[in-house]
Amino acid sequence: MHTDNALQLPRHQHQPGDGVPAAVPRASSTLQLPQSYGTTRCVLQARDPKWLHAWWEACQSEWEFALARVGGDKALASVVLRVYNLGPDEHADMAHAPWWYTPVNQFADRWLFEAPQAGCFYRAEVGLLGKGGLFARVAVSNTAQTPRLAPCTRHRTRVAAWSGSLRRRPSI
Amino acid sequence: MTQSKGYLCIVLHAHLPYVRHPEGDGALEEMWLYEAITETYIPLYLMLRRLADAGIRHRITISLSPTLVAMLRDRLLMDRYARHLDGLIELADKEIERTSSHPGLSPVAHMYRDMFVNTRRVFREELGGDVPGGFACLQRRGGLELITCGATHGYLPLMQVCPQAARAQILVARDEHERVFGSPPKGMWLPECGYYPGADEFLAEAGAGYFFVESHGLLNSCPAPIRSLYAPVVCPSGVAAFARDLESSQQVWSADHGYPGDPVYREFYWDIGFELDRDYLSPVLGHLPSRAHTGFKYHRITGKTEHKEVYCPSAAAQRAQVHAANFVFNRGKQIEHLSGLMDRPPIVVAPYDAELFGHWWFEGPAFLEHVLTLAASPDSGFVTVTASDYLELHRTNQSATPSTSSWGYGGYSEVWLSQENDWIYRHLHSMAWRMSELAERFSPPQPALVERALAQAARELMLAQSSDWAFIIKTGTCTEYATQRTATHIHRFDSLYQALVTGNVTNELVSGLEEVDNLFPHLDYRVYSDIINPEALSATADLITPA
Repeated sequence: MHTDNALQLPRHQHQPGDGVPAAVPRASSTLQLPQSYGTTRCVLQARDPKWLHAWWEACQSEWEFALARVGGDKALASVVLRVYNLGPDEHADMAHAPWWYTPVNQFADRWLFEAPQAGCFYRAEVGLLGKGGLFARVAVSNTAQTPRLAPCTRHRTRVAAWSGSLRRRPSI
Repeated sequence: MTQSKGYLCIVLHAHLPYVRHPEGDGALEEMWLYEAITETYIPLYLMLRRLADAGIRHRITISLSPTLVAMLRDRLLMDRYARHLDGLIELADKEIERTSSHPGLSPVAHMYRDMFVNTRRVFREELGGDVPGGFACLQRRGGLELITCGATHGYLPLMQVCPQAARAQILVARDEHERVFGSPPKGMWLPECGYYPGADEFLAEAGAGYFFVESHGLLNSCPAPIRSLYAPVVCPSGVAAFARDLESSQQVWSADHGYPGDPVYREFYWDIGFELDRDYLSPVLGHLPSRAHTGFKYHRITGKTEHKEVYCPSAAAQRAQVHAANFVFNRGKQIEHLSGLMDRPPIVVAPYDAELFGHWWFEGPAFLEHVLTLAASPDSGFVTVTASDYLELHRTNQSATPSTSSWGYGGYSEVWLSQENDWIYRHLHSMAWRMSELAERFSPPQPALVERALAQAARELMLAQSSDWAFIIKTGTCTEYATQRTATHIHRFDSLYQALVTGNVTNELVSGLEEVDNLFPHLDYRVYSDIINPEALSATADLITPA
């Protein structure tokens, strides 16, 4: 996985000319992207029926607080994603959902990992796993659903009449 | 129309990312636009105009992406394109002289000169430099239905965590389409055919009546589709979803068995731009930093061999007719078979990238012209329709929600979310949230400069969201450019955001960015702040008694 927050971009082949005012952020050789957006958050999204992707950010103090909660020894703590399988119910209680740990690189800020089931809802917590299985959460994600691989069988067939004219929002 | 056994719905999706570089005319990427105008958009326009002039009944849908339309209406780019055409004709004259003693190459050189001269006449005199206007004219004549897609072709399934961004892509696209073409689109093409349950609500809000999904998106609907791929379903939002047909797609798309791979067709990759002396090519490539395609290609595909035979236009034209007849015959048989299994005439939906026709597959427009001509015959057993035609004829459809899907490799989001490009999402999501924050904070009327800065921030966000950049980074074709474009728009958005929250917006910053990223001049940033009111959404899917 990539671990860089700030990309050192290669030199652009088309350099801006004199027509662009000096204040315009230019397409230069080393654009510094925001290293952080100043939030603590974990975002989960489904790539396909069998893979999930998470990215996260948190300030240093959040990590230090988590480290203290798992014993304070950096050498014995590792960054993990604790992933909950909520099954087919988006609003299922995390507390009763099965979960597993996905280890991630300690310098990573995003991770792509396998999901056990298609068509299920998942949530993830990013945090530190310490000695003795102690877990300290840093951020919890949104709920994400992996796409189905088969038709849904939970609902009965119905038909809908198409009126031919949708009630639209006025132009912006 | 009701005498036919079914319907064929051909959809061409025309799109290019926004590749306008006012800082100089040496941008290789602007050549993407010029090639596509010459080889695809004008040939498709001419093909449809001929059908209309001949009175041949046809219905076809073309999706023109807002970024493409913006470029086709941009004075700077169209002036550059006009000069590009002049360069092509100058080079064609040199080519006629160079190939004069070669009995195989000479007719091809003449073909190119005739084609470029005619393209310049059509572009300048017939269209007045306004290609979208030409398509609008064809729509008024009845054969063509124009629709739109996401504003900057943002891939919607990876915007689920910030739905306001997906909504803005749809609503801004709707407004741009209405502004340019005078009426709102009846339907929409979802960028990369990428759908997730809930995206249809934004289409309903935009007043779009239909969209298209990849075949497994419909097959995995909830509940299961009772007519398989050959009738639409209506989402709870009231918007109809039509599915891509696998069989008709394979016949055109398949690299191994598709028509475009026939040995007599023109070879795309052999171009004099990579073969002849650079000084000689200067009328077309003189301003560019490196070699590029010129459009002069003299060989046919021949086979999987390094040796290529000389291209024969007449043989290729004949083969296009044969393939069109085969395509129409197969659709007739397919529809006849399906109609025996269904309680209503089936609809076969055949969507393609427009640029396949003419640019990648040189004979593609001729193929389509023959297809539409043959389909107009009562013998074909079917008629061509648009999705809106179908919904007028069959107003009651199954209620279902398609599943998340796309037409990219693997059928989901693998192309746009991979180890090569996943770094972009922390930025795209965070920018979308920040844009909503700005739109809420600056919702009341603001000084003109602040409003312009907010609108420009929305433009930079949308440009960063173009699915093209993630696609290119993944496929590794022009990675440097795509990475740079993504980073540039992130950086520009961040500069505007910081200026806005600190109260340091300057005219120099805003004007400069408005000059370089000048699309969607009427964009209202408040689209990111609106709270979605369920009662304002269409409620046209009146559910009927459960079956």
